[in-house]
Amino acid sequence: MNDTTTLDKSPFLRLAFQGLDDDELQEIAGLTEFNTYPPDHILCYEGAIEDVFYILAEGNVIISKKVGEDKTERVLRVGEKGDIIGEMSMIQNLPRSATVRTTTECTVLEMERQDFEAILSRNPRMAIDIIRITLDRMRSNDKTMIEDLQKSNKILRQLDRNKLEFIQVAAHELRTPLTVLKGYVNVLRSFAGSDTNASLGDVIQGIFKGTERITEVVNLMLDVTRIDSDTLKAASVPVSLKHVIEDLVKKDLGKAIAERKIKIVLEHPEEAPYFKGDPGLIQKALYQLIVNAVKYTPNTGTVTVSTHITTMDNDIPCVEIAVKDQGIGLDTEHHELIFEKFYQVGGVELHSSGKTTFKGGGPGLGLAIVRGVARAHGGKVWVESAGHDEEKFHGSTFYLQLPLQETKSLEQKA
Amino acid sequence: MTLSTIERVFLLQGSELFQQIPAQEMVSVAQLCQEVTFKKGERFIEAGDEGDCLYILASGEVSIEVKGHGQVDNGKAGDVIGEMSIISSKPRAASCVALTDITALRITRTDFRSLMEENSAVTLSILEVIVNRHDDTLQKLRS
Repeated sequence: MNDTTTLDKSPFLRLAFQGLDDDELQEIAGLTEFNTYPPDHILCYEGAIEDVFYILAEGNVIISKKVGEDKTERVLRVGEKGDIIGEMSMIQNLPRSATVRTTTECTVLEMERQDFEAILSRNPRMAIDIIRITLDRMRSNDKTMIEDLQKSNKILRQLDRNKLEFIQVAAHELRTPLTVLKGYVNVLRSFAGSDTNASLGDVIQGIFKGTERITEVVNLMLDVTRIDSDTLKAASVPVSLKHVIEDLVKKDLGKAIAERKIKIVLEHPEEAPYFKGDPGLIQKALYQLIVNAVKYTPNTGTVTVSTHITTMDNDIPCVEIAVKDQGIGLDTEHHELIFEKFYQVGGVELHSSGKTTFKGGGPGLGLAIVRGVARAHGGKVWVESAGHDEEKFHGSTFYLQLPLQETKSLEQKA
Repeated sequence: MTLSTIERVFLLQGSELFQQIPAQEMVSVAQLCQEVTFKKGERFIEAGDEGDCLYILASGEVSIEVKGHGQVDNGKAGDVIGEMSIISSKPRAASCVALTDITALRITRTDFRSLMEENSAVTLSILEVIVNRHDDTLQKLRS
């Protein structure tokens, strides 16, 4: 567009302001001047305070903005004939929120700030048109953001699947040599000399304990791949929660709890909750919750495990198991994330110091297993804690709710 | 629940869309409103329909749902719902379901457009809110 002196402004203004009549467009035309810019010219600088409003008559521009922590330049949209540019910063009385650069030779209609503000204040229909244009842009941005999120979600889901597959392969690869190792350790233990030679006995015992610990971690890895998959089906057989918990505390974890001098308090109603579920999965979930409670409670502290009947949010009757510790507590920002695989609060411990050592490290899979078991039963798990404090030891309480299918107690059934 | 004019003014002043409107104009906005109620579970806005009114929630809670995505937001007392499609003349982008019994103030599209066309102060203040909202969404963009 070389000669703009005699050009009619109305067609371009009509494109921009579709709700205005001819008289209104003429008034705006009187306040604007044509100007032509070469390609790669910057009309608006992000962050600058500028006093010009543009209506694009010919050519194309790119509107871009620095986004994210690393301030990457991101293209928001392409401007074309009939687009308005620069109105946002003048309405907000703020610096430009984006950079506008010409990609071709551009002819624009320019209006100074004071004229823009004046006409806007006496012409509400122009303001309505700008609102309409802004809302259209917001819808378009929302659509772009949703598409971006969907792409990111797809990638994250694939990465999650890759992670699970890796864990599965690694666990199976480790299991075979572990089986061989355990076999040889048992053979060593049966040698006559291992009883009488204290040093040899200690070495064999050390290898045995190490092997047991690796086996536990490998089993945990296999559990999480099974529990995390959508194909997990929970059995539905009668389960006595009271017995499951007592067995865990007295048999499976008894020695570790005694070593740490942790007091375990069990609180069950007289009619002990007795419901239908998968005993293997529930035992795994409760094991993880109690181990966690013991791990993060200092020596001589108390862990309370209680059960009672209540209802879930959707009024479905359920049994609620609460595991309350007197431990280091958990800040709110971690309350949801701790149920994700591998999520660790604080620094990752790069050595395994034992499953119940105070603040000992681990693979970060236990609570993911608890959540998987809860979901497989149609239940839920969550944590409540006043926050992390290694002086006051606020502690945490983990709640596991499992829907009830029958509420008869063991005694009644007997 | 029947809201007096002054209660309507307070409700409108508490909402983001109307909060910049000068006090002297607010009474005329309040007088345009009709009080309506919806029962729990009632779907009072359907995605794809023509937007013929906006609502300002006076009490209760609603779920805002987008097809294919489920619930995307909640609305509660003081929130304005449905204004985008009556200003832009586009179909409703989302559906709205009452999560509890709700009371709301309703402004029809015709009344709202007339108000905006006749009253620059109202229009400019709404324009400022919409532009700020757009700027906020741009700030949330990621690389």
